[in-house]
Amino acid sequence: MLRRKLSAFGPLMTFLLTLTTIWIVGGTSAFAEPLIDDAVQAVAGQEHDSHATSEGEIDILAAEPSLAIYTVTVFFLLLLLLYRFAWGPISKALEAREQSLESAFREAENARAEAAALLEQHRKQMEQVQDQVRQIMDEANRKAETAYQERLGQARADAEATVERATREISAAKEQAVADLYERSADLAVAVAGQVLRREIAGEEHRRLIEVASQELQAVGPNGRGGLS
Amino acid sequence: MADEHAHEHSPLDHVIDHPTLEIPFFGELDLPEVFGIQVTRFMVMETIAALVMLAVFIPLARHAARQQVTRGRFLNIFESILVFIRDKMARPAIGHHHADQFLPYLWTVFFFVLICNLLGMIPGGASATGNINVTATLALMTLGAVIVAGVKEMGPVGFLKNLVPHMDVPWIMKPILWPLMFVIEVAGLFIRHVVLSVRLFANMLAGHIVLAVILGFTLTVSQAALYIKGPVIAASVGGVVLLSLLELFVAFLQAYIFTFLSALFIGAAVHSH
Repeated sequence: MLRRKLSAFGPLMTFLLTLTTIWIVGGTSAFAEPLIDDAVQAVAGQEHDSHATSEGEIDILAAEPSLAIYTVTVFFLLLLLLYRFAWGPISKALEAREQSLESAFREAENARAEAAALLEQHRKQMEQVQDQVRQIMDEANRKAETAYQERLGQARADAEATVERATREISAAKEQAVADLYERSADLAVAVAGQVLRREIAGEEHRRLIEVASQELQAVGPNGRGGLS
Repeated sequence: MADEHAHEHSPLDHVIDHPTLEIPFFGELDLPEVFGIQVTRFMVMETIAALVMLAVFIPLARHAARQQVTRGRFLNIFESILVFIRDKMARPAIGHHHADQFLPYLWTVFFFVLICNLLGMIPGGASATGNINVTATLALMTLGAVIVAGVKEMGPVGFLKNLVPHMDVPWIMKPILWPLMFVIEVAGLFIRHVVLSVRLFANMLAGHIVLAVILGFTLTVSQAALYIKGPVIAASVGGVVLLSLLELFVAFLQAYIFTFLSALFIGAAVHSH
């Protein structure tokens, strides 16, 4: 820690030492002033001369060693104080902020890309699900239609079968009824014949009765079917 | 009273150092002598500049260390200037690694020069940077920084060798040309820094002299008839207002130039040509 601090102050110390050396070699501030004096007189030239002569005692280039030394002192005190209490923390804070901003941007970018990928994936899934739903619906519709048709066919067949059976039963009943009728007629004919036979019938009368009976018989059994029974 | 002033008035009177402090509406305050050294107006101004910087940047540092985001217009102004100096001046001129080493110096010199320049714009204030002793000292510090940077990077001999640019001449010419170039470049190194100090000094001085001269017209015509002095006073006050705005710009510009050239000189010292 101490070492780091010292190394941080390294350039500053060298800086100070160099300046002191320059200062000493130059012989306090007299080092700079004559040199600059000459340079400025060469640069400013005429203007300075005229001012100096007209104003007399006022010399804008007057050397003020105390001011120069004071400037150095103030500046270095300021540099040291600010280095310790301001520039160091500010530099560090700026670096830290830049790094955190950079990482935040990077993270945001990553998150954005991830979100986009997720959205895309989601959209695909939704499409798949919709396809599936459509398939299921189609399938269900088809099945329902088939079932309906089957039921309808069944019902129709049942109805036809019922009708047929009814028809058959009706015709069977009719035949039964006709057969019964013949039987009764034959019995009746026999009974009539018995009554006739019990009486004394004359020749003429006998013939006429048989004719009547046969005519009756014929009238009852149109096909001549029940004639013998 | 006005007559007396007119008699005494000299435009240069305002720009040279005084052992008195001018307080608006109050008068002149005689400054004391401390340890046998006369305290002068510029010393007071430098102290004020230093105190202003301490008062601004230490809270800024505290704030920046505490919080991730700098809030407030005041702190943001200073922080953006610091970042500007780092990113647009120091790093391009010196290079990333070395720039951060010399950044404290550049930051200090920029704001010290700027605040000294601006102090000349407020009533009772004076621009310490309008004095050659101050600017020469500042330029000397830049020279010191340049030498430190060069010697640290390449060693004392390397630094001196690096002063001379690479010459694409036949080998036979080199022994003659090289010493010649060396002398020229060493002289150039010093002249650069002399000019650096004179540039700032002359700019600040000239601005204040011009303002003083133009404002001086009002005193010159103070005895004249109203129809003469009215327009003159109006014109000179208007002129001074406009030129003061210019001076305000120049205060920033010169601080920028001084810092940027310092950065360029340091950058030239750490890079081989």
